[in-house]
Amino acid sequence: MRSLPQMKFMRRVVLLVALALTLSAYAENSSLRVETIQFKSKLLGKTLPYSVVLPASYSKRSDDRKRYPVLYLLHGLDGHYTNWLAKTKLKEYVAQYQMIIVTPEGNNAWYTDSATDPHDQYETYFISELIPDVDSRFRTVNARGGRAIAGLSMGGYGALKFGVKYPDKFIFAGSISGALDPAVRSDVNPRNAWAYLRPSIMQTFGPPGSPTRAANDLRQLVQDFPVDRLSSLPFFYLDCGTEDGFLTGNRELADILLQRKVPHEFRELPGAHNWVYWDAQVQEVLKIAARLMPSNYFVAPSEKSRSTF
Amino acid sequence: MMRARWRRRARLICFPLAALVLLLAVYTYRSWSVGVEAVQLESRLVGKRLEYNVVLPRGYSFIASRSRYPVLYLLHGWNGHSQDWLAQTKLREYAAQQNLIVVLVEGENGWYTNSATVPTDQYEDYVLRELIPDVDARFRTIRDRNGRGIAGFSMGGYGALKLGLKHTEVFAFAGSTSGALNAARRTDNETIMHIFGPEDSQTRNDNDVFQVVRTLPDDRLQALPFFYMDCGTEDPWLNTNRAMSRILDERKIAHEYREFPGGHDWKYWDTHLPEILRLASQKLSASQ
Repeated sequence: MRSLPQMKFMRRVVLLVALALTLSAYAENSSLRVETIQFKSKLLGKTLPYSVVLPASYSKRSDDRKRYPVLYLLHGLDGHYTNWLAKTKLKEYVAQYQMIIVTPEGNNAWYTDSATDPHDQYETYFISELIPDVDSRFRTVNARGGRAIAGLSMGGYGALKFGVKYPDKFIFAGSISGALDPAVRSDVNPRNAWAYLRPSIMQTFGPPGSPTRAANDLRQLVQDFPVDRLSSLPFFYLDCGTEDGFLTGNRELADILLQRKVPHEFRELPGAHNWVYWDAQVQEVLKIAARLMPSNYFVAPSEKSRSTF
Repeated sequence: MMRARWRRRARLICFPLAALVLLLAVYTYRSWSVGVEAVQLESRLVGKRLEYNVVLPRGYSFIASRSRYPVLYLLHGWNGHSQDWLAQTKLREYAAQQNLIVVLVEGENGWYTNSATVPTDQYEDYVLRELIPDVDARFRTIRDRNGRGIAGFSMGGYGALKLGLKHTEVFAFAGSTSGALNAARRTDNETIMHIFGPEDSQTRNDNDVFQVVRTLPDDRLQALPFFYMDCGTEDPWLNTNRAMSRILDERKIAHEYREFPGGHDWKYWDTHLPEILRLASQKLSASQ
């Protein structure tokens, strides 16, 4: 039989331990963090900020060696790096995944090296400045098997184009309501929403027939992709709302992917070119990205797990 | 002496208690796992016994449960049977994720259509007038349109879309995976000829889903269920599915259409079944 003060003491200890456990569990849960990096691009000679969403389990402790796959999310025309976090519930959706999200700044440059302004090298910036910076600052899986890219509208074009041009960099490229055909549009071939798109497209791609157009025509790039290297391409995903003016362009690309037997998924569903649709579909993109980049593959990289990529 | 008696008494209490705990554990485990029942339904319309299977959600058989659940009717493919879903896919596992009753319909090779040539082969009426009332009577279902969905693959995909289009008051969701949607236009198959009759038959006209969509009056469009379709990019029926998606689109009928890598096989159907279950429970009203 224990004495009464001893019992009291024990009860207090138990209470304190329970409280500490609850608090630490809470802290662990709520620590999904967003950081913004003011990245100075040497190529563009200006600051291009980007935001990073780190999973709750990502710790700053220097002894932590756990690495995470990364999904880059590109914004649309007249948008900025802040859009995904401000206009969708991305933070809430990503909480269930062990994945880092990066939202880069692309201005209105179509993620392309400009035909008219030699400074505006947004494609080269993305590949040779941004990705290395992210990989050096954060514990990313610095390999194709742990890197994916997706975007909406202009960003959908950017994501798929990067997927075709840099297949060794990405395992997955996704487009939500992609404006996939900028390089073929001109006053002669305006297609939907031309008045809105015209200034940025002419600025980025130059006049019809320009080398920039030839080098960034997504459909042509898929058509001309060497048949013996098709299996090296990332998995492509594209979706479009049935009330969206860009639906035809999406169907055209899905047709080409089909003809060339490039593994892909294409969806049409009710919806228009707006944030209601993008908020819903970014959840689908996260799901596919998480499926293709299962985080438990990266806990302890061995030769065996590496060979699966 | 005293101690021995106590020990005997303790044993007397402990054994029944342990048995009771064990029984309770088994009972709880059973009621919290997915249950499958087979029902032998004597169809008066078709004139024979058609067995259907029911996959009950977790917690359905819990003694205190009075919840009613939405129902998804799953239609099998050509030369298939109701149990195919259980044998060829991980349906039990997938169903455990959703709060709905799944009914596996036996449709034989009847294309879920009332035959043009044999008056007793009324496979469409069987589903609507015999099967659904039987399910609603036997199980705690949500007995209205908002609690009822239908889906299937290949011949079953055709059946699901067709029943969804023709019986808008019965279903709120109709899904087709790898649907053989051109059924009523084919003449290359014996069962097709048996069910749909000669090329210009009235049965073909009434059951051609393309024709049904084209001729739907504008004021009926709002009453339609939500349509879902998917098809593998290596599937011979891909163009048929695309054509249907375009027509739905032209008529501004709410639907979702997806193309995935894959062929016309169980690997594909097993892969995409969880998504159909998820969409169905999303579109149907929640359990009460």
